[in-house]
Amino acid sequence: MPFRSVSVVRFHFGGYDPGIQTTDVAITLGMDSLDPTAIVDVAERVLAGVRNDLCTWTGLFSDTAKALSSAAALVGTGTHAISVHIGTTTGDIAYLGTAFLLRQPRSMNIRELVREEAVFGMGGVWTRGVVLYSQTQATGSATGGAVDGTASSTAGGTYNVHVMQVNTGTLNVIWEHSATAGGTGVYTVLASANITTVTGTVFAVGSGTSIFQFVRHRHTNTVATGTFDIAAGFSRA
Amino acid sequence: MPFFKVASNTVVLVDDASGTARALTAFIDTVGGIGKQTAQLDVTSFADSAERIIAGIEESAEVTLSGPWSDSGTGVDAYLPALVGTIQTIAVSPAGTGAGARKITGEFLCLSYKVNMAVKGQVTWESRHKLDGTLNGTGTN
Repeated sequence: MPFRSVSVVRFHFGGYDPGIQTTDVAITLGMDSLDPTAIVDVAERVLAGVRNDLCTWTGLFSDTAKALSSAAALVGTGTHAISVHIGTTTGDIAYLGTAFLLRQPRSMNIRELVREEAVFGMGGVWTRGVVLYSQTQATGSATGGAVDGTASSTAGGTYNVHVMQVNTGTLNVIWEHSATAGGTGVYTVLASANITTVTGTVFAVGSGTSIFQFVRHRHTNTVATGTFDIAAGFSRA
Repeated sequence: MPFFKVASNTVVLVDDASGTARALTAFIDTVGGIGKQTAQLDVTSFADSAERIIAGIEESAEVTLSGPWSDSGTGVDAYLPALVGTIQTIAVSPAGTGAGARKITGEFLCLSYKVNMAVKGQVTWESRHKLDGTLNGTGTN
C-alpha cells in the first residue's frame, strides 16, 4: 500500500513552482446535489447537479522568481495550466487541469511570517493522470520514461507541461506516443513547443484521434549551458 | 463487555462506476454520519401545554469517508474520482462481516472526492456521500 508523505507532492500553476512556500494544497472533485423529493416519497431523494471542482492553496509569502507570490500578474488573465503531482516518478498519480487565479490575499501580523493564499477557479474539471517527467535544473536533452496506458485510445487526452526556470536557450518540449513497448518503441510526436520563458501549457488531443498505448515526455535544449525546471503530466480522457 | 465493538473490525464496501463492490477498508480510517435520521414536524396546537412532534420523511444523511491516500490500483484513488456525481451503493459493516453481523447499506450520491496535502503530514483523502432514498440500517451479513 504505497501511502504518500506530502513531501513528494509537487504543485505547479502556469510557470510557477511554489513548492518551497506551500503549506497546504487541497483538490476537490465536487458535484452539486439537487432535491427532487416529491410528496409520495418516504425519504429524501437526491440528484446530481453540475460539477464544481476546486483547488485551494495556502503558503508562506516568498519573493523568489518561482514562487506563486510572483504570479500576481496572472490574476484575472484567463486560464493557465494547473497540475498536482502526488510523486515525482514517471507513472505516479497526477491531477491536471486549467484554472483561473482569482485572487491572492496576503496577511501580515506582527511576530509572524507573511502568509498568503491563492484562490483558483477551475476552468473545467480535474482529470486524473500520471506524472510523465519532473526535473529541476535539467540540462541538455532528455527522454522521460514511457507510461503504459494498457491500450490505445481515441477518447483524447491532455499533456500539461510547466517550465518554471529558463536560464538562456530554448527548450523544445515534445509529447510523444508509441504503439509498441516502452523505450524501444517507435515514437511519434503528438505535440511540441519551443519554450524560451517560464510558462505552463496544456496540449489537448480531441476525441477521434488515437493516443497510442505508450506515452512519454522528451525535451531538447538548444544551449548546452542552459538549465530548466520541468514538470509534465498526462491524462487520457 | 463483548457487546462493544472495536472500529478496526469495520468493513466498508463502495460500488465502483461499474457497480462492482470494492473493499476500501484498507484505505479508510474514519466513517462519519452513517445512520438513519428523520425530519420532525411540529404539530403543536393551542390545546397543547407542551410541544408535540410527528415524524416526517427520512432525511438524506450525509456520510463522510476519509483516510490515508494511496496510489494503489485497488485503492480509493482508483475508484472514487469516477464516482463523483453518480449514485452508488455503500455498505458498512461496523463490526466485521461475520455471519449475522450488522450491515448498513444505502444508495448514495457522491458529492465530492478531495485530496488533502498539508505540510509535515501524509497525503489524505475524504469523500462526501448523500443518501438517496432510505437507509437499510438493520441488515446483516
